[in-house]
Amino acid sequence: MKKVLVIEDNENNLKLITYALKRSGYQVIAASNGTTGMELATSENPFFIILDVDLPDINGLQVAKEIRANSLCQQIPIIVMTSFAMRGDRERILSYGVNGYFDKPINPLTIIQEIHKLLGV
Amino acid sequence: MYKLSVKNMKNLIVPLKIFLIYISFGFAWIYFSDRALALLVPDPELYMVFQSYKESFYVIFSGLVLFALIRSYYLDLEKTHRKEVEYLNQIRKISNSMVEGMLIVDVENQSFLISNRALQDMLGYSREEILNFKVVEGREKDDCLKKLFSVLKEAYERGNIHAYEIPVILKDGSIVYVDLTFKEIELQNRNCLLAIFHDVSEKLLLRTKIAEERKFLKALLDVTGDIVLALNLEMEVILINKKGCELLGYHDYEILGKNWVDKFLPVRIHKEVKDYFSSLKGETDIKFYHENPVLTKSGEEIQIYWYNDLLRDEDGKIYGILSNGINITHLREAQKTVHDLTEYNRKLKELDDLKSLFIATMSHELRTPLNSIIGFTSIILEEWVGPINDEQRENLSIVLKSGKYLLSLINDIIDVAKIEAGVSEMHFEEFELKELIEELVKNLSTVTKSSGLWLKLELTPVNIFTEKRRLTQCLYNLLSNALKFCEKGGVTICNHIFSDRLVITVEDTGMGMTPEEVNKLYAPFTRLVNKEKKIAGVGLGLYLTNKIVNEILKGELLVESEKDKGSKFTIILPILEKREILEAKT
Repeated sequence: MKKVLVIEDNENNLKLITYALKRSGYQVIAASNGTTGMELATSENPFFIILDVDLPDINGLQVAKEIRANSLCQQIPIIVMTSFAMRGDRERILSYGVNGYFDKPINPLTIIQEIHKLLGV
Repeated sequence: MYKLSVKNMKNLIVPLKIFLIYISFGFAWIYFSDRALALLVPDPELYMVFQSYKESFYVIFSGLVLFALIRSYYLDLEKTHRKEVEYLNQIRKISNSMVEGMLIVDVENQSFLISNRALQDMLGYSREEILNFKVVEGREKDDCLKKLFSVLKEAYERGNIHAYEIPVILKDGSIVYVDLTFKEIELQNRNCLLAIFHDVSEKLLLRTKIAEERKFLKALLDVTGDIVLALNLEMEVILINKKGCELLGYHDYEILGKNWVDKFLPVRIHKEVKDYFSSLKGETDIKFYHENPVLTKSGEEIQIYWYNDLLRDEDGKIYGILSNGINITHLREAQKTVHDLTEYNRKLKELDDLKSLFIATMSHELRTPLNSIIGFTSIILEEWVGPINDEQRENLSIVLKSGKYLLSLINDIIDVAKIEAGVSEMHFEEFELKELIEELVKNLSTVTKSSGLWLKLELTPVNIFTEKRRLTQCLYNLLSNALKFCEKGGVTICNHIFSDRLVITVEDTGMGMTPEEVNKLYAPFTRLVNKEKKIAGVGLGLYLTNKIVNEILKGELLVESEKDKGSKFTIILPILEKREILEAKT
C-alpha cells in the first residue's frame, strides 16, 4: 500500500482528505506540524505529500523548500492546499518547487483524480 | 573820437589847481616883480628895458604854461582812452576764448557793448548785429535781442547775481535755456552789466529724460504683481511699490521712512532679522532668497518669499537691500492641504490594506469550515460512510447547495477585494470559446430544467487568448443572472466577430430595468427589487463582472434594457494575438 504523508494541523481537513485517500487505496501518515512532517518525509518515504500552508510551527512553503533541499526526500511530489486566497499567488507557490496547488475547499470526490492527473499516475 | 563828459572833467581838476596857483603867482609877480627886478637887474638901463616888456613876458609865459597844461590834459585823455580801448580789446580777446557766452550791456544806452564768439554762436547773430542793436520800439526784426535785453535789464534792476533756466529765443526762433551770472561793472565810465550765459538746455533735456525714466520705472514697479521693497541699513523703508502697499493695507506715506522690522514683521522674528541687518554692515554674504511672515494693517500674517540684492553706492559701499517679494500665503496653505491630504490618503491606504488583510484572514477562516461542510456532505451523499435514505439525501443536498452558495459569495467578495487591490492573478491562455460556453451551459442545465426556461445558443467557433477563468466567471454571472431574473421565456447567448473585436451577447426575456436601475447597475451591493419573486444574492455579481471585463479582460460591458421586456448584456473583448498579450504583460 502506497503511503501518503499529509501535513495538516486542522483535524477536520485531515479527516476529510484521509477519507478520499483511503478510498483510493492509500495509507495515510499524518503530521500536525511542519517539523514532524519533515521528519516523516525522510523516514517514511511517502509516495507523495499533501501539505497545508498554514501550519502552527513553520510555514508550509518553508517546509516544501526544506524537503526539496534534503537529498533523502527531494524527489517526493508535493501537493499544496491553501485557503489563503489573497496571498494565493499561484506562481509564487509553484516557485517553491511544489508539484501542484489546490484551493480550499477541496472536492473530496475528485481531488485524488486531479492529483493523479497532475502527477501523471 | 571820444566824448567829453562830466566824468572826464575830473581829469581837469589837477591842471585847474595848478592854473590857479599860477594865476596867484602872476599877481604876486606883478606885485613883487619891480623890487625883484631891481635886485636882479642892478643896471638901470637894462632894468627899464625889462620893465617895459614886463607885461609882455608875463602874457607870453602864462600863455606857454596854459598851452602846456591843456596839452598835457589832452595827452592824458588820449592815454586813458587808448588804455580803455586796449582794455576792451583785451576783454574781447579773453571773452572769445571763453566757452560760456558773454555779453556786456550798456544799461543806460540800452545797447550791447561786447559779445563773445560763444554767445554769437549760441544766439545765431553776428557780432555786428549784436553791437549795432539798440532798443527801438516797434522794431520786430530784433525781437529776440530786445527780449534778451529786457531780461538782462530786469535782472540788473533786481540786483540779482544769478538767474536760472532763463529761456532765450534764438535768431532762428528756437529756444535755449541758460543759467545767467551777472556782474555790474563800470566800463568807459558807464554803468554796464556783464552777463555770463551758461547753456543748460542739455541739462534740462537730461532732467526731463530722467524724470520720464523715473516715471516709467515707477509704472514698472507698480504694474508688477510682486512686492518691490528697498530698505536702508537702518531698516527703514526707502521704496515700496503699489502692490506692496496693497498687500500691507497701508498708504505709501504710512510705510516710507518707517522701520520695516518694528512695524511690519512679527515680534518673534525681530531679533533674527535685526541681527542679519547688523551683519550686513560687515559685508557678509547676503541671503539671496528667504521667506518670512509679514504683518498687514489688519493684523493678519502673510507669508512672503523674498529675492534679495544689495544696494551699493558709486563707491561700492552697501547702503541698503532691495527685495522682490512674492505672496506665497496661499501656496503654503495649499502645500499644507496637500500634506494633510497625503497624510489622509496614507491613512486610507492603511485602512485599505487592513481591509485586504481582513478579507484574506476572513476568507481563510470562512473557507476552513466550508471545506468541512461541503467535503463531508459530499462524501455522505456519495455514501462513502454508509447508505442514506432519500429524506437524508434531500436534506443533505440542501446543506451542500447552501454551502456551495455561501462559497460562491465568499469567492465573489474575495475577487472584488483582489481586483480592487490589483493583486488578482492573471493566467492568459488560448482556448475555443464555443466549447467553453457549451460546457458552461451544461452546468446550468439543472436550472433551466427546473424553471422551464429555454437557453438558446447561437455560437460560431472562435479561438481566443485571454484569462479563461475570469471570462468563464463573467459569462457564468451573466447567464445565471439572466436566468434568475426570467420568469418565462428564456436566454439567448450568441457571439460575433467584428474586425479585432469579439462580441458576446446574453439576452433575456426577463423583468428588464428602468433607466434609473440601469444607472445603478454596476454599483456594488445593488439589487433589483422584485415584488413577486425573492431573488438570492448580495448584488456583487454585475459589479464584479464589470470590473473583470474592464480591468482584467481589457474589454467593455454594455447593457441595454427595457422594463418588463428584458435585458441585453454585451461583452466586447479585444482579440489579441498571444504575442501582444505577453508583451503587454511584460
